Amino acid sequence: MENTVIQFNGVSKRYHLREMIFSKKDCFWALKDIGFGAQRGEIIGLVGRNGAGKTTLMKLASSITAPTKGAVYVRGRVVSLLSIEGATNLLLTCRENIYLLCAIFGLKWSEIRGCFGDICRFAGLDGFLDMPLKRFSSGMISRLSFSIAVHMPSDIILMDEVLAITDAEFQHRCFAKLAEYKRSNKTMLVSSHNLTDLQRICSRVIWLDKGSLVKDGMPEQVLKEYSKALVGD
Amino acid sequence: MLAVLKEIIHWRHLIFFLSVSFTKVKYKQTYLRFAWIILNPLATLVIFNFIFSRVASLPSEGVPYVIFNLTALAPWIFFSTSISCSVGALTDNFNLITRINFPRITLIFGSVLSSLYDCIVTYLIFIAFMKFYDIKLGMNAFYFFLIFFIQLIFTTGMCVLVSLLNVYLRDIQHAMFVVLQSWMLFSPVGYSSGIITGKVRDFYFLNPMAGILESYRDCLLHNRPPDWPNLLLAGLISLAIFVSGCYLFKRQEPNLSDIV
Repeated sequence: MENTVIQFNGVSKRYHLREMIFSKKDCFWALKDIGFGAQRGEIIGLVGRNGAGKTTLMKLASSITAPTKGAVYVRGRVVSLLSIEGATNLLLTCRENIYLLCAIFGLKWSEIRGCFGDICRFAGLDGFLDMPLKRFSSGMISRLSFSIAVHMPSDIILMDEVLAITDAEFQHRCFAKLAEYKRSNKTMLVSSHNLTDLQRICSRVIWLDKGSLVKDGMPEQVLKEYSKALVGD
Repeated sequence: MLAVLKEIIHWRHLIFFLSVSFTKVKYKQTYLRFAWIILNPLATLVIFNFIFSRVASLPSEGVPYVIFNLTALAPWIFFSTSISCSVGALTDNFNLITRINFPRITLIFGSVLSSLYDCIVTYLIFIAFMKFYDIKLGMNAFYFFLIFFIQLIFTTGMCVLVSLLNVYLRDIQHAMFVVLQSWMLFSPVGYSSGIITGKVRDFYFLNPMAGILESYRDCLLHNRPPDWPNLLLAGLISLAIFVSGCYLFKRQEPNLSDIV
């Protein structure tokens, strides 16, 4: 078990449906009794319809939220790219956002200065460093936040449909980055609705439906059954 | 408690960056920029001077009213801006809390630190007025640092409690304005606590800010040591608030991202 970096044991997660959380009624289970383990270097794809529990699973893996039942064990530094563009502050400039987000990811002042240049180069936003983010397009914000996140030191990377709105050229560079991760033996959890991409990069796929684990196995097999089920509906 | 202190030291870089961002965000797209840090206390000072000194003619312990007032107003402004800024420190930054895993208490410390920058500027005004009225500080002025430390503990503890509670009940942020206003009137900011007599005085110093503000006046204006029983009481209450705030925060921290 040396190589297990993520372990879910009978994990369930309950959310409140209502605004106030004082009543125990009106709850729903976003995840029900999920169990799986991820080995170092694995790239696991997550598929399932909207609301199937993919994001909840990633939030648990990155310890953003705690499980209602069961236990989650994670070994190593997790960087989650869960709708990361929303973590930027629209009032601050591009430069200020880079500094702040790097610090939130746990970097020290000297480390931030070390990777600042790399982040700017990767994002390709040279002329816009001192522009407030509220004047950025959503594509530019995605580029910026994705560039910050991939430059953070990490052992485990969680991605939740991050490449959806960037252009082809940037996506190409991102896939190159993913290949680099693969070579350096980092573990990845990738959720996407683009089954071709998943087939291309994953070594294993987990299919979730209404909070339960339907299937966990080789990409070809799981994706084939999943797309059959989608059409069947 | 110890876990919180360890976290603060380990994440000091983040606390610094957050405090700088909070200060920047506060004054973004303003024409006067950081001049607001000076303008607000000055305006309050003028109003207090007019109402308490001219209209109500309250005694000011033998020093010019402006100085008498500012000695307590400067720390009070630090207290009230800290609270009113950090009441939303968690709720306004829900976009960070729900997306990235980092110690959430850094948001509150960052917010208090950002108010501390404002406070330092307010004290520059204080020094200017002291020079203008030619009031000399004595040796007892060194007690200032002890009193300020107590106030910092109390302020931070209150900020932790208030912002945590606000995650569960947003009513807190709406009530904050009127609470701070009346709290100020119940503290010796515009008047001397000497005018409080009788039964009320027995309870008056249960408000830590009363003991703290009176101690500032003792050591800065009258060059005498603070009134120890009152300051000690304030210190103990402050410590209790800080410790219980940190304890509750640590217990609730894993749930914050679901509720915020």
